Amino acid sequence: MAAGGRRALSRRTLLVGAGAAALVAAGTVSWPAGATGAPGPAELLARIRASASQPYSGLAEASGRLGLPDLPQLEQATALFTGTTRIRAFHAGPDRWRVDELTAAGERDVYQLDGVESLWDFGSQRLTRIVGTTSLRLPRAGDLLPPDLARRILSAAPDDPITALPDRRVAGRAAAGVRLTPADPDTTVAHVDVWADAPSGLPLRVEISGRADPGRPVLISELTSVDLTAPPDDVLVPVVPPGATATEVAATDLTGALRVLGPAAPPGRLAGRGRLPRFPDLPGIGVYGSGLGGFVLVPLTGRIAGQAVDGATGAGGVPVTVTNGRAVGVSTPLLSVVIRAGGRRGALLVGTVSPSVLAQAAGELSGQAP
Amino acid sequence: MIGTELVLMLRRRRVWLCWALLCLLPTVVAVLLATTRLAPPPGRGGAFLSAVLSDGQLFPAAALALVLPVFLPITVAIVSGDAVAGEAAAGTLRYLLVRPVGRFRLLFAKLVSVAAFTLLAVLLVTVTSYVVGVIAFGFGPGAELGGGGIASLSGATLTPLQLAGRTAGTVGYLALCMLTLGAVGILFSTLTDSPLAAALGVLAVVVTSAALQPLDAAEAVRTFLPTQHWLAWIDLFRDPPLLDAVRTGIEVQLGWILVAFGAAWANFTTKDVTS
Repeated sequence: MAAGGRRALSRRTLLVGAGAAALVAAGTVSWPAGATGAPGPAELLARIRASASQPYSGLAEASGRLGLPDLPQLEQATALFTGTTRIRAFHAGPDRWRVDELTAAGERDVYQLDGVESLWDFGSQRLTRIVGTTSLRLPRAGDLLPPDLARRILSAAPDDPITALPDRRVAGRAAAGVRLTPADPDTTVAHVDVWADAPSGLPLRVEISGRADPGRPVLISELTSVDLTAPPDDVLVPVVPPGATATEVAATDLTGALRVLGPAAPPGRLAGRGRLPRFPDLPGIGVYGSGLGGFVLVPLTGRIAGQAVDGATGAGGVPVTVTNGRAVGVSTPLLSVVIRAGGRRGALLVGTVSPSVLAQAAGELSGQAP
Repeated sequence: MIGTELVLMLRRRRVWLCWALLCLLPTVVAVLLATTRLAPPPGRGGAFLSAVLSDGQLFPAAALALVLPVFLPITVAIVSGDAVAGEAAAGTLRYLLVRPVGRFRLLFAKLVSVAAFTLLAVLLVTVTSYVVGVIAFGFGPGAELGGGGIASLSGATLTPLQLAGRTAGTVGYLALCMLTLGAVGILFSTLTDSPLAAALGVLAVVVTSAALQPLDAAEAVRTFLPTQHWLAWIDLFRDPPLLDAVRTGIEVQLGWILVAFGAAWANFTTKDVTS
């Protein structure tokens, strides 16, 4: 009887174990990509670049491991690159879209409707209409959506070599892949992989890998579900619910703030890289280098630069030798930062280049300092 | 058999005590918020808590978010851990099995009883917190406009009917999530004669799952963790409602219930019952 009981126990336990294994397998199995009718990397790239008008609605998840330090007042922006962000997008066209950053405590939404931008924040129960535009702003969740991220990266590096990647299944669709490998030897980016819906060219997944560990992407953004039809009009119109407030603010004007600093004109060349004609309306700001091996020069006041140098040194930054003043560098798997302080002015150099390039740039700036 | 188990469950004082304590915590929070008018700043504190001062109809959602992480699992662990082990500890299990009722039917009746407990627990918290919320914070500005609806997380106004529908969905979803713990509790309850050990086993599962959740190294198993999907119901209060995470959550919870109840069945139907 006891032996029979043990046999029965064994059979039933095995049955339950097999059922559990089947359930886990059903949840983890990778379905074959299926036929994408992949058009070849060059044609796929052209379709991706032309996909801005492709309507879609979808849910995305972006995870970053950039290891950025917490920066005062900038926690929301840095969190995008150091954690996981859930994003919902309703995209009817380049000037009619809505992007929601979904959190466990609420939602922060950006609406773009016929040239007018509005922000909804559930936490503060406020709808803010932005008047005017600005050429420079902090990163936000919508920048990490695979379509926007892929198009921005691919348009920044039009001459870097591309190769085809094996197809994979993304958001229930067969997606064709393309890899962009930056030619610049000084960039921190090893490669950028993009998988897109082949017929429409809509990017569905983006992986950015750093040179420090090319096998492990530091930023992954993927649409987990997508519908390629236009979203209904009513979801694109921001509303003010009862009890909430509606305000109107001017777009952040950095030009005035920068003029107060009285920054020197950025040099035409730094660390062997020419200055690009970007942000001409923002005094003192210079963008250097093309493709994915570039960096930005941001002028700082002497006091802020001094505080930033002290803060970065305390956070484990590496001292950088400069002839005039002092400087410190911080490097992450993808972004390098050098802050220089000395006298009335300082500078922040940040970019996807090796720390040595920024150290060279800081040295050249310190040589020109008054 | 099921009816007998349900009546037994409703007659137990500890069950009513669990429900009372579950309803007490949100009530205390509502009283404190109403008297101090100090809600957590936006983005901090439990979900919806920062918004309840302006509309009491949001309080059921805030109350569910308050009891979900600890109190609800503890009560489910106590009741489900007692399901079989309680009979064994009291020496009534062997007499129960003498009746012409199969062990599977007995176990299934226990599961139904635990399911009724979890559903009633979530429902009672929702109803009492709605009443308490409206008394403490009022109907909000929507009532003056004749609507009585609330702002969804996305800003669009939810009508009272939509609010009722989404709250009902939340109650059902959370009852299912708790039933997962109930099924695990019944499994542990068949493995030991101690109701306390079975309840602690359930809490160990909850703590382990919650500890693994934020670990990057646990990414491969994260989607199978029972606690991973507990907050997915918040997506029901967005506009349009977002069902992806809720759907995944339902699938994972059903999988856990199936496996845990199956394992309980495999163990209990072949177990030598001596107490």
